[in-house]
Amino acid sequence: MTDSPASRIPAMKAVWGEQLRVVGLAIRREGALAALALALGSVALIAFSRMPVLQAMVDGEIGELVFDPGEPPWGFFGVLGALLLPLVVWKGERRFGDTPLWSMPVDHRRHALLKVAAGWVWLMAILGAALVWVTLTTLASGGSLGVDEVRLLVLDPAGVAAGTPGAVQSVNWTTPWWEWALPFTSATAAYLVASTLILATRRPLFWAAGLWVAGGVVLGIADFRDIDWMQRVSDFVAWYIGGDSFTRGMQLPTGGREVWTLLPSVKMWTASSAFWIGLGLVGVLAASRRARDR
Amino acid sequence: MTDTATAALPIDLGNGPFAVTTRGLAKQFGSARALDGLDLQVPEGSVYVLVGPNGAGKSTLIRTLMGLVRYQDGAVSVLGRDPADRGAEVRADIGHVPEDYRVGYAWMTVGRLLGHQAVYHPSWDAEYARRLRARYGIDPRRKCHTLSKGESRRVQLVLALAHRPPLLLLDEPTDGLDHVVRDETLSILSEHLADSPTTVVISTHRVYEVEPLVDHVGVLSEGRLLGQLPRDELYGGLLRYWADVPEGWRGPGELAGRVVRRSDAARAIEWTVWGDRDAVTRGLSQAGAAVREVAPLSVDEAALALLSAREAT
Repeated sequence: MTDSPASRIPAMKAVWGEQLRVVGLAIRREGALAALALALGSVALIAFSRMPVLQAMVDGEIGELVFDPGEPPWGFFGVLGALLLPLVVWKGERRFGDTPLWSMPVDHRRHALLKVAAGWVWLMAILGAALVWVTLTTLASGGSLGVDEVRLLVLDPAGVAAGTPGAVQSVNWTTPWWEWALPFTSATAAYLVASTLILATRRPLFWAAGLWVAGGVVLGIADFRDIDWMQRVSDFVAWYIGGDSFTRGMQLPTGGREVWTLLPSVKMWTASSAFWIGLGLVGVLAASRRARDR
Repeated sequence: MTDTATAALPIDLGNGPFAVTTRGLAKQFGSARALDGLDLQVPEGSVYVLVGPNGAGKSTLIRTLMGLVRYQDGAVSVLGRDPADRGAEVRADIGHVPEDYRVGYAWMTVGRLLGHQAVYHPSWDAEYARRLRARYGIDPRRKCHTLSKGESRRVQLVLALAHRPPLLLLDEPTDGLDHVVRDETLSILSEHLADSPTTVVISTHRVYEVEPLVDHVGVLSEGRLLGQLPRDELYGGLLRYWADVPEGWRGPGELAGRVVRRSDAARAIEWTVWGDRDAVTRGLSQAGAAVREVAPLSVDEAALALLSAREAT
């Protein structure tokens, strides 16, 4: 009495296209708000940098724009947006109940992964558009793309305080090509980690806050009790595979002047990106098992 | 009157063919048993109504058949497939109206939601969907979150019907509909069944609303079937007897049937009995009762009698 199942099951290509459309529709309001904020910010920046009257109002504080994707706040905005995006991607889906997504003739786990992937495609598109926009804003305001500067690299940390000659070395630094990819990799990792929480937990914000607080408490104890191995672990996590090195290389403020103990490198970026994106992918794949058919 | 009263109703519908079967189906939420060894048989092409009070396990059963709930024990076959193993294929063949009237994507327009459903069902009949939507008077430009409960139900019915699935699972489909729309829905369902060969499982605790469509009945209580049988068999087998009896009448010693419900006054009785009409009448007469009237029960009354008998045990 039934047709052959194959004729009634949708093609994966069609499902993928529909998920792209549905996620696009789901995020359009928040996307429009973000675009509006970006546009207003751009107008303000161009106005303040181009019009002497306005420059005078802020005592020349807003001068020439320098857009370096490896420097704050660009990475931060991308990561923040990526952390919040899954909440919008899964808008209207009762992930642990009867939801349209689970009622459709598609394997639940595969369907969940398709939705996560659709959200990621939109994230990359939005991020790309935002970077192009900021680039154009920078150029329109007469600013420059990337940095070309001399950085002070600490070779002997103990010698810096003692004033030992040769403890600090000057290095000519130009924004490397891979720093333009950094906002994309950091946002990808953040999006995957946030998607893991969305898929695995009923109350993702509660869990995110809990993990944040727990991490802070552990680091606080390590610092307060001067527990060496915990500090090493936290340093490793914060500097070498995440935290600052992940979003913007490594920087150490000393005596009001910025010096670098280690300049950002493609090796560090590759390692930290691989670690966090890998962790996010494993998390999403594991969490999607909660949605499996059986 | 006792447990045996309800246990006497048939459960086995024979050899089929069946669109849906379960064997010893069990599902537990924490310590609560939602389904407790359920043996369901839904004949192909039938309209099977699943009757039971709130919490009887109706919605859990339907969600299990959809592959939305993982069962713990037993076996399930939906159109020859186990939803636990081949959920996507099973759902492709099902039109589903969920218990929850809220339409999933509240931020979508009705038209966009119908388009969304169409992508997932290659057999979607766009013209049929348009006609159904027009009959229900739903504006495709309306946002889903602005729909009333009844309007949401109508949209859910369009979503369930328009891909002409071989199996419809309707969980309280008339919930929230006014009399006019309910009649229109029954009319639409009748026409749909005439046009498309479909098996329908309707879960409801308001059987009278769908009674004209029904040809098989299953009565569910506490996760177990008290009985499942063709409606005609229910009409012929479960009857209400009115009889005049002498003062102090004690009833027959043995009766060729099971008393499901009884209401005794001083010199008159009103019994609901499952059994052969002639044999029951003869038994009552031989015990001294003068049977005045025998009448069949509606499906709704029958379900109520069976369920109240179960509760009385």
